Amino acid sequence: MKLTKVSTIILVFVLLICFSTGSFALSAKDAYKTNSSIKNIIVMIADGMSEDGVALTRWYNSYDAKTGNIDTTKKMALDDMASGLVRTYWVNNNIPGAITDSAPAATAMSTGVKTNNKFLGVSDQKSPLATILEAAKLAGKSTGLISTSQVMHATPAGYSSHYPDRSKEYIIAEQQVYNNIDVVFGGGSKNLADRPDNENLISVLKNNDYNYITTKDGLSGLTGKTWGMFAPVAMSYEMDRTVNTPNEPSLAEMTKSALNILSQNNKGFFIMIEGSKIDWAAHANDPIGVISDVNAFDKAVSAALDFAKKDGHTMVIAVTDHGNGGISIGNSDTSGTYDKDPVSKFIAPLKKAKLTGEGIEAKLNADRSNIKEVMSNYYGIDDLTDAEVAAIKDTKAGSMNYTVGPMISKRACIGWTTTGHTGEDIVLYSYLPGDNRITGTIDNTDLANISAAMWNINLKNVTNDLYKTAKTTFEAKGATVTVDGSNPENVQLVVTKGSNTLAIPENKNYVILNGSVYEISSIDVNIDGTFYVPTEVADLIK
Amino acid sequence: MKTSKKIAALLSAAVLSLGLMSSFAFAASPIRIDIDGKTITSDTAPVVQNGTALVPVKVVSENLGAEVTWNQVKKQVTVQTAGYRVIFTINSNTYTVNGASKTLATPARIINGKTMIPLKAIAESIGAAVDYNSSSNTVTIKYFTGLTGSLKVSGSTTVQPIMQAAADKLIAQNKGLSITVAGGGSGAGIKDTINGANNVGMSSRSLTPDETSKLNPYVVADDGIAIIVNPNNPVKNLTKDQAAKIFLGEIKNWKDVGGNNAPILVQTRETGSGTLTTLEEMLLNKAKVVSTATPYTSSALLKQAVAKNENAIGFDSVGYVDSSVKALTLNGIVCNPQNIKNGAYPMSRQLYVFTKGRPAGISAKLIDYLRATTCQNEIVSKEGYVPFR
Repeated sequence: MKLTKVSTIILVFVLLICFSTGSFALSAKDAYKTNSSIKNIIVMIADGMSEDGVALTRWYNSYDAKTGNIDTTKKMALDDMASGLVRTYWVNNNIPGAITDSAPAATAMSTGVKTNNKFLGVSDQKSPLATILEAAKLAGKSTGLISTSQVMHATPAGYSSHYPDRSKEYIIAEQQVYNNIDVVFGGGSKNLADRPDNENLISVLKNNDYNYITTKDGLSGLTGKTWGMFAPVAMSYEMDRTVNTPNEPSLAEMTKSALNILSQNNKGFFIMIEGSKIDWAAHANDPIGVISDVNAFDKAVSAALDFAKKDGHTMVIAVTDHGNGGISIGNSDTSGTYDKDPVSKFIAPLKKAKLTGEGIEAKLNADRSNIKEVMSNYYGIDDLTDAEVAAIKDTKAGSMNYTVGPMISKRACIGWTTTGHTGEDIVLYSYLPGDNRITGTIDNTDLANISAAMWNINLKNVTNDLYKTAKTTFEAKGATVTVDGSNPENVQLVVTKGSNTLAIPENKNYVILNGSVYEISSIDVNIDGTFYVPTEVADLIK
Repeated sequence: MKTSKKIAALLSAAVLSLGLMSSFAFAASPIRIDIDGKTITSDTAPVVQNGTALVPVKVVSENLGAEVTWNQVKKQVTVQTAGYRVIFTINSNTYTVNGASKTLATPARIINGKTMIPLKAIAESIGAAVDYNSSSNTVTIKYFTGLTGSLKVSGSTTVQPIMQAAADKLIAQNKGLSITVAGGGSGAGIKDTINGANNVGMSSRSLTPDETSKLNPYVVADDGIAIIVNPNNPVKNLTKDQAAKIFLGEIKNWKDVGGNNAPILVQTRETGSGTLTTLEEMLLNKAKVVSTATPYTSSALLKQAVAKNENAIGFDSVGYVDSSVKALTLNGIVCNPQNIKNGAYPMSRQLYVFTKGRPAGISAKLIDYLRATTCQNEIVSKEGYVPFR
């Protein structure tokens, strides 16, 4: 009796502490537990978003260019979610690399396994690994993928394809189309119907009962499986979108629409949402591109949080996959002045830009005779030197942000150390039901493994079920196995035993047994002539 | 509804009178299935269960132009026509038609290893009329008969012979049906369909992302683009590289590829031709055919030009190749059905028809007919093209 009273008092005390701090903290170790309160998982990746980019964006949002007033209470949706750090190293034959590229980072976050550079959904020994998206699908959940790059780009590809070369986007596209993902939004229609194998994957999608949409108007009132391809390759930066490509939706609009469709499955869903081009802006050292798409990403985070708070059974994780550019507020020009410089020194020059370094390119005329007007009207620089004008004139198409980004950075005293990625620990942003958080320093592989553990899924078992080595599996059954490469763009594995012939076409979700088509729950993966098939295909040959 | 009830009653009467009450009983003499007046051949006889005829899914579906897909894990079989997607779950009393769930009394079954689906349900789902004649023990399916209305078709002259022959057949067996088939080339056909100027378009090139977003394409045949020369030309083979250089105008004399000392006269197709676009994509790496080449506005005219001139070279769908011209081997590979089908022939492609949005009504029936076993075997093959299935 006495004891109960004491424990009640303790409980009340604990609850008070929790309410007063506003959220519960869950160590990474505690997160590795089946969690029946989490039905849905939303993973949001701001590609190449170094933390100073977030701080810069917050100042940008705080600063009123007209009055010069600064509202220090302005917050990002991300702010309340900051809860830990994530290590991002990659490996090649067990040798770690400190700075990762997006392909091994995405593979680590999607499969829970570190891998080699350029590898997507495969181990550093090139064997396919089941992703958390594929495992969710097998568990009867709906799945989604959103990016502002082409969806065949490294990060979304790492969740939905298996290939040791991120540059083969047409192969990735085919695997994604046949991977039966419920919602796919982003750019990349060119990879679907302008292909080396001459196949038309948009037609495949339509035949498989997908809605296929190409404009933001198509996003409303959707039900059922949907592919939205809003650009032939990448979509625009958010700042450029309304001016240059008004038919494209924002990342937040895509997010809301996808969550609407996916939440119709009462078994739950998994979705990965990427703000892809923060990375591209950082490579170019264009702070405007960074600010544009950090804000677009944050609005999408806000939409996801709104959903999660209302739903009550949703975990939202937001991270970047790696740092990029070494962006800093302050550069070598502020070495002697930083302790006196006002916020306006850094932000006022940036506030004058209306388009990103990429977006202004569309405003330049063919002979680039209007450089000064465009740079003044759209990028806020009206003191271009002759050398700068010449540099802009000589810039080759598609890389204008690389030329003008450093120009505005210099004027705003924004520092950059590289045009490549960087190796810092990245910030973990999390939101779990009950306003919970995951805390501590985790590894990028923990993102997949914690998600799987919460759903009581063993990713290794799923890999074993979905990706068996076809040759050894069928040969053990006394079958003959040959690779048919007569059409190099559509290689297939042919298995014969007795009167049975089984054809396994690469990158498709079906096999053909004696002329009859069998749909399967994963894709037939061919890596350098080694085919991988799920157990259900192995079972077709007795 | 009336008809189907009648069938069910008749079928159950037939079963009762034959005393076949067991749930896995076969009729004493197998039921015959006639589709549009033609008896279909199948190694599996239909079965009657609880008064419902179950038919072998693959043979019946392919005779109606539908695709069949099995799913071992979900225990499902999907029958897909141009207009409908019907999914049966083995031993389940529910099935779906274009996503809408429906119920049936006797579910699809696996019998002796064959997937059998309820005839009435599939027929009603895809818009076929079924009837049963107890005295002849025959199920009659009307799918490509009893059609009325008119259709306009235009586009690729490569696809045109297949379409014309199919239209002729359908018109012959449907009094109230008219189908006009025009050429114009793939580009014009695609434009016409997008603008609503035809009901069904034809293309011999794959559609662009933008075009496909507006259209629903269906493959109707596999095809190869043959490099054709005059039968008197001694050259038999070109490498892909030689062929490319000839059409780019970089190799100008037949002697440079083992032929006579004579100028090479390149014949081509008009801009907008799907065959030309495909050749430029597959052989010329998207470069243009040499500007001095003589263009013709149809597959037939180009062939005639090559047939008339000993030094001419051109290209045409394998469906147009006859004894008036000679098809060269490319990299030593003959342009024949087998090499086209497995993709070994370097210029293998597919031929398409399409509608604006999902096909419905007689447009859907026309597309199903083009893809049905009868048309594939009796028209596509006969016209010299390659059945796609």
